[in-house]
Amino acid sequence: MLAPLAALVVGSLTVLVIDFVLPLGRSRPWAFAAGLGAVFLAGWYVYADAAGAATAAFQVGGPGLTTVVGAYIGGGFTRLFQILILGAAALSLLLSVSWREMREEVDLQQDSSGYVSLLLLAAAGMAAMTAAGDLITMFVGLELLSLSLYVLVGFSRRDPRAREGAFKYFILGSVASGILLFGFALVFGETGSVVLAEIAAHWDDPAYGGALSGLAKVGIGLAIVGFAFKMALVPFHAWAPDAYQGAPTPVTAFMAVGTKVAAFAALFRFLTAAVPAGWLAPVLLPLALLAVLSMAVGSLGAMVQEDFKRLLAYSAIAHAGYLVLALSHRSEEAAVAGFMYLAGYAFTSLGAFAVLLWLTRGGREGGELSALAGLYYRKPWPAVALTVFLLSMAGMPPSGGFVGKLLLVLIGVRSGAWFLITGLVLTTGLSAYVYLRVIKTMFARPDAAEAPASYGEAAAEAAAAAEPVAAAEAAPWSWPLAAAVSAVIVICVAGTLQLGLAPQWVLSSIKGLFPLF
Amino acid sequence: MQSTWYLGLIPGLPLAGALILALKRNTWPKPRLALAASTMVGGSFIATLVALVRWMQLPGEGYRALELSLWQWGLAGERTISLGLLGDGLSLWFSVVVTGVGLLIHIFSAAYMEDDPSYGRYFAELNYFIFAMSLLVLSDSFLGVLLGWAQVGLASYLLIGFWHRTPEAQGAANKAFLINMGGEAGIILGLAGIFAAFGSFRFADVFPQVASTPEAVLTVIGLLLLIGAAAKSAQLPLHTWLPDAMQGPTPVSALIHAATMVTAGVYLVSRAYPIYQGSAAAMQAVALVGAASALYGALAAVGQTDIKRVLAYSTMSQVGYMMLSAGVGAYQAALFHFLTHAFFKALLFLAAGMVIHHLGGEQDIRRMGGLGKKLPFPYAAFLVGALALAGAPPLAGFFSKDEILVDLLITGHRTYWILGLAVAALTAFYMFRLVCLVFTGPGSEGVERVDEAQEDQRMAGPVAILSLLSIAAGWIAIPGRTDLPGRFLRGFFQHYPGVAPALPAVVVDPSEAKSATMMAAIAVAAVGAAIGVWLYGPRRSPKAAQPGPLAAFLAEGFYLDALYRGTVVPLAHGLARLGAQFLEPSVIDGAVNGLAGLVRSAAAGTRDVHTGYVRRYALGIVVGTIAVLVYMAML
Repeated sequence: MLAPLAALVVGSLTVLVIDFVLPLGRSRPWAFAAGLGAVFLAGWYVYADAAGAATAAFQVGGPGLTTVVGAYIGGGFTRLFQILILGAAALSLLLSVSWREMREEVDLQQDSSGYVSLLLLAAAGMAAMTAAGDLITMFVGLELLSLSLYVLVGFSRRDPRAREGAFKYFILGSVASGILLFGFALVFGETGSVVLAEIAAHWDDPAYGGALSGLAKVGIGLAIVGFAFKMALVPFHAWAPDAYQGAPTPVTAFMAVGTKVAAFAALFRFLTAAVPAGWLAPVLLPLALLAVLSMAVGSLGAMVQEDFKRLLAYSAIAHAGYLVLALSHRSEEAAVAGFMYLAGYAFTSLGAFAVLLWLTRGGREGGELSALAGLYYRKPWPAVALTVFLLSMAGMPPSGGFVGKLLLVLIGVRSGAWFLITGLVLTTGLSAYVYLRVIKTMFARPDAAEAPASYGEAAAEAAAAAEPVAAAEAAPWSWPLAAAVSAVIVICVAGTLQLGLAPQWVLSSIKGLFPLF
Repeated sequence: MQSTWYLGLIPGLPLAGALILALKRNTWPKPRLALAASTMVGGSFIATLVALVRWMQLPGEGYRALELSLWQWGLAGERTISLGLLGDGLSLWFSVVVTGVGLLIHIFSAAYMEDDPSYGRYFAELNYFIFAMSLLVLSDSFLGVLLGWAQVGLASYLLIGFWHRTPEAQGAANKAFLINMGGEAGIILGLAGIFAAFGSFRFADVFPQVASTPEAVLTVIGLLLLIGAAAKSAQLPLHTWLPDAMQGPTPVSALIHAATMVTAGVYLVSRAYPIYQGSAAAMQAVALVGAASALYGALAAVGQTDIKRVLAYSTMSQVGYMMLSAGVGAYQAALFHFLTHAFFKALLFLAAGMVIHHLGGEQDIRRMGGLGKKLPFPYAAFLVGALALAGAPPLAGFFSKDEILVDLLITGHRTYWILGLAVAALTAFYMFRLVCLVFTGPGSEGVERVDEAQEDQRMAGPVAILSLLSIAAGWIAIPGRTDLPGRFLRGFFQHYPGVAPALPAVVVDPSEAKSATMMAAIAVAAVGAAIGVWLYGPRRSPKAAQPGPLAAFLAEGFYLDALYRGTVVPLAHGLARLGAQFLEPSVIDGAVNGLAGLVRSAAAGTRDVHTGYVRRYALGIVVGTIAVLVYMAML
């Protein structure tokens, strides 16, 4: 049960040993190979782990649940979200291979083992959070992932934006960690235990009659704030655009997906244990408010961005808001809806960042939206792939994003969260504008203004030929690097479409993980 | 369950062909374009034949079907939506005609369109039509039917407007598209009703539930579907696009606007027969629309002066026959008539196309005459088609028309029976008027320009095959001897328990009805043809072809089109103007711009909050935390 974690941590140490043993400049490919190997090994352990398959998603203790001294819970829920985290880690490691600064800046090149090692540690922290059976594990996992990411965000040491992003992320993240820990401490003070199963049993005590004490309410509120920070919900989101923009693109992709998955899984478990069933709706109200604020700010903020990475950061804020719908109900279906939504978001988001990486190779990190103008006529395939991702973010069928949103709405209908559903529908309309605008930019003919309105195909070809190829995109790229990035793009397009066109394939294979469905 | 992948080839090959041709239309030489297009449709035809053989080998006597699942979409615990192909007697019956006649017309077009600069585009669109039509008839659910339905509409639009530089073709294409979109609205609403009532689009899920569904629901669904069927099949009052659709190339008129697409309405009514059988009102509506269209089309055809418009109104009339037949429950007779009509009407269009080709594009029959001697082959072919259409025994049309009339009589619809006989007389009359005016008598000035070149093999071959089929296709259903339609179709129309079987009440003794109908039909056809020859034959008065007031009334289709142009069109224009000049700028633009401005300022507001100062960000966190804490403490 602990094998996936062990694989990641041992892999992380192995990478460091490789760096120590091999001569300078030759360790890089081996570091990446060992990193990918560790992720795949962990994935295999998760896949092969049949123990505790027959437990309810929201169960935190009791008979039938396999745990390691109550601190680490196995079973379907854990495996589901760990697979997602490991998949995101594998894809972003593949992207990291071609991150340009890994190749060109000498000191960074030498430090590639540190990079891989930190990425694996962050993944281990996320995996621990999804499986946390007590508050200590949860917090340690959170800190492991946060500390690793602080360093990774600032990895391009010479880039002032990277330093700025990492600094803000670190300062604000520390405050949030403190708030979360204080909340946990209050919950402990009230219930006398850090183990989720014992906290849950505490409210069953007839002395409480199902009511929450004041201390517990404040503790739960503080914990929600801490989690909201990690999910980048408004108003705890301000670090996200800067950190996303400053971080190396593969790290941004990993952060956007992995942190959200880990925080969602941990918050799901925490709310299950700490909030009695009858209290779920009132306790969730502040979270729902934060969620609707996030949807609005994420969608509106994305409109005015001129930088593609910042646009995706705001999009991530809005998507975190939608995710709260899956927390509004305590059932397998809600967990699965969250999983499907996150899986769709993972493919979409990783794919979009991969395309961004492909386009900015040889140039500077980060991409202005204006650089995408007429992309289709210069690079048709990346443009088509990016269109798929953007449509999925906008929730258009037949994409994974559509299925995810549909499942979230169905959960919302079941729990009566009409406030959140309204927010989702309205801001989805707003955000469609954002994504369609980018698509329009890509497909607009570069010389649409001057060219006469003509349907002649010869004229179009002449126009395409006359368009100067942007220098940044012409930089040479050795084939293994190009292959790694295009493989990620292809996987993400396939995953996005597969989730949209035939969601029942995934849904029916998930069914085996839970007993009630 | 044996593998049925070949079903997928029937729509798949023409789709692949359409994509390839669309990409290569300007680079490949013309022979290769024609060969590729014909090969794809030929492959589709062979796949249909394979499916037919496999279908006949299926064990059992009743309803049998080949199935191929293409796509499924579902969420756990929710309803599943699926798309698949279904090869049963009904769909293969249509598929044979669509791909078979389609193949012949591809070959014909290879020569007919030789001089057109957009040769590649033509074949890409023609292949696309075959894909869409076979998707329509082979789908195993109403959803698939809708997908095919919408796409044949698009293919039809593209091909009517093929010569898009003439305003007439543009207008005709737009008209056909708009009217069919109106029909599609009916289909979509009908589909919504089907999903609401039955929880599925699949035929296999829907039809077994029909018996336990209230009649009112079935009536609503049936009438909504009928709107779409009437639009696509050019039935009253949604028929006005069909005569104008003759602006398209003649082979297109033969394939789409005579043989296949316009019979999609007949297919839909036959396919959904459990729904119609369950609703007397919907059945009566189908029969009424069909009867009115049959009579209207035949009358309007009498007054036409354009060779293709005569055939267009004739098509409307004949499809009216099919709808009338389906409307009294005689689906099998309707489908038999669909088969024979596809052959002889395609033949008539292709023969007319050869004449038009020889005359350098002339279509006005007043400027033709005496062409029989100069163009013997088209004359012979056209004569075969005309005889078949007029119902001369033992040609194809005789058998199928006879079967419809017999079924009308034995189900006790005596009025419709008399009306059917009247239409048969009119049909013989207008066809012989046409034959005489074009091929006999003195030549007029148009004839001087006849290009008497040898017939192209690629044009003569398909015409010869269609001539043979127009002669012989009726023999597959000689009463008491051969019963091919029954073997194919009866299983489907008796499949659903609880649904009233097709042809419910035999009121009149069948053997008497048969002999009476046969004699009456031959007599009225002979009389009609004789009057046609007498008035317009070789010794006609010189002014015979000039329209009188009655003929003008008929020629304009009772001025129905003009009525629409005088009422519906100005109304729509008025509404559009109201929208464009008042609603759009003040109300909608105002609302949209206001909303956009609001959103934009809100968006800019989010940027102002992001000043970049960490202390400002931290303030946000503190304020947020305090707000959450205050709420939780008050909880």
